[in-house]
Amino acid sequence: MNIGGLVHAYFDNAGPGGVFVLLVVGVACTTYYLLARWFVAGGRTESQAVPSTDEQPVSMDE
Amino acid sequence: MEPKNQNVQQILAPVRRVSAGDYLLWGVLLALLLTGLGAWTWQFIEGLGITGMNRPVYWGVYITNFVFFIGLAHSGTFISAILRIAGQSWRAPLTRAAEAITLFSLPFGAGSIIIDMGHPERILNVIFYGRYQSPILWDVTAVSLYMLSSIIFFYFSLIPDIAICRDRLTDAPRWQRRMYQILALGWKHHPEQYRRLEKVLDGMAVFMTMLVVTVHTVVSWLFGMTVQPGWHTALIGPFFLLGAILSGTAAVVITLAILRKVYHLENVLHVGLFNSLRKLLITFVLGWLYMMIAEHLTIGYSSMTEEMVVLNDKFSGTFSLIFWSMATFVFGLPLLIFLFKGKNNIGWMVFACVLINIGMWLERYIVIIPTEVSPRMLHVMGQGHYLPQLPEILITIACFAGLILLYAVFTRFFPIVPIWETAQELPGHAHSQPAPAAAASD
Repeated sequence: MNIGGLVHAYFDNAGPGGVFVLLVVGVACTTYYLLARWFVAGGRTESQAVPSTDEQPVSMDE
Repeated sequence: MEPKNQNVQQILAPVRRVSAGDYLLWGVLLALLLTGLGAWTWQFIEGLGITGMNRPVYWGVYITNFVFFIGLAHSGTFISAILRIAGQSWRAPLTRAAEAITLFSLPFGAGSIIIDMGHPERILNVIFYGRYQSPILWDVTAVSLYMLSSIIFFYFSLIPDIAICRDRLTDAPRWQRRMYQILALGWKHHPEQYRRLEKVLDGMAVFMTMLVVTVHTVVSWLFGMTVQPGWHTALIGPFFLLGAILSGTAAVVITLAILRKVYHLENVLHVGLFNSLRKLLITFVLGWLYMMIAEHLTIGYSSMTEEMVVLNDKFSGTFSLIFWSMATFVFGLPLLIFLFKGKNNIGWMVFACVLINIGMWLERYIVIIPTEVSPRMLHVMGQGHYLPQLPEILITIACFAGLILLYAVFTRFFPIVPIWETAQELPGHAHSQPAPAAAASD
């Protein structure tokens, strides 16, 4: 397989290079979204399983 | 349970009230911003012909601003990400102030490119017809990803503090409380949340460090990949990068000093922090001088005709005043100040850092314009000339005003010193930050 040829063809052909930009940004958005979900969810299951009085998170949203 | 921070009241004090002085400042800055918007509209209607740009000077003050603002944006990543990886705990109180510079200068950097295009819709051509052999597309990729990642990095580290605002600022207006509630994402200060957040921020810090190197190198390649005199050198990448970190760090010093004075944060933003930054700045100034000499000596020694036209223009020709002013502002005076006056003296530090930033803007100008005026194919293109015109000046002022406006508004609604990162104790585990005064040594 001519990998060098493929790379050359990618850089040397006219086309929507913007697709690559959108792909990179899109992958980054998805990754950051998943990371945010993961760390915000931290301790949710733990606190449900082992309730403790001193570390019980207190919602002060209201 | 909230993080235990003895300075929390002091840090939250600016968020509790918006004074008449704030509204006045915001009004003046908004007026300047709107004036720039008016100038841009004028340029949109009349075309780029009303600017100082002409054939063969296709890049002027707008591209100077682009490089300058992108450089300024490196402050946050440097302070937050690179020093985080290096385990420098003294950086904690100043991370957010630095990251906010990144966040608010990037839109004006990227926006300068769009302003330079004349018609903003032309950016779509890059998306629809861009070819990846063009450095412009590399730039669009790098800057877009950097902007997105900076916003996210900034926001992630802000979430616990937004939750503190949500819980404490119960007397804030309803819309403000609602904003905190939404942005806090239901944060409950659970120890596991903090552990995970630290992990994410550590990982992102490595990624951001790679991005910061990439972004400014790619910005420099916009110039370097052409065969124009003064630009076509392998040194241009690291040269741009070092200059960016220098101007960014200097901007952090200026910002910190203003915040310290205006918001009475003397206990939190201790003078030791400035001394630590002073040491970094001395290193960067000397590094920048090394790059400057390496660059110009290599070019000068070759005596290539086209290169020498530009070099002579800078050293002793049309641009000599700007060139030597730049060298004095970035290297000469600041180094003397840092060495002999800056220690434990914030006023002198700020003065030196203002000089550095003026000098770095001039440096961006002096990299771009002399080459544009005397391009490689001088006999075909003809000798150029360039003088910034009114729309360019107004738009440049508007960009700086916009940056300050965004920053000033932000500090009134969010804590500018991270509460949880400077806490003496985090919920559930013995994460504790050394007091800034003790950690920042000199």
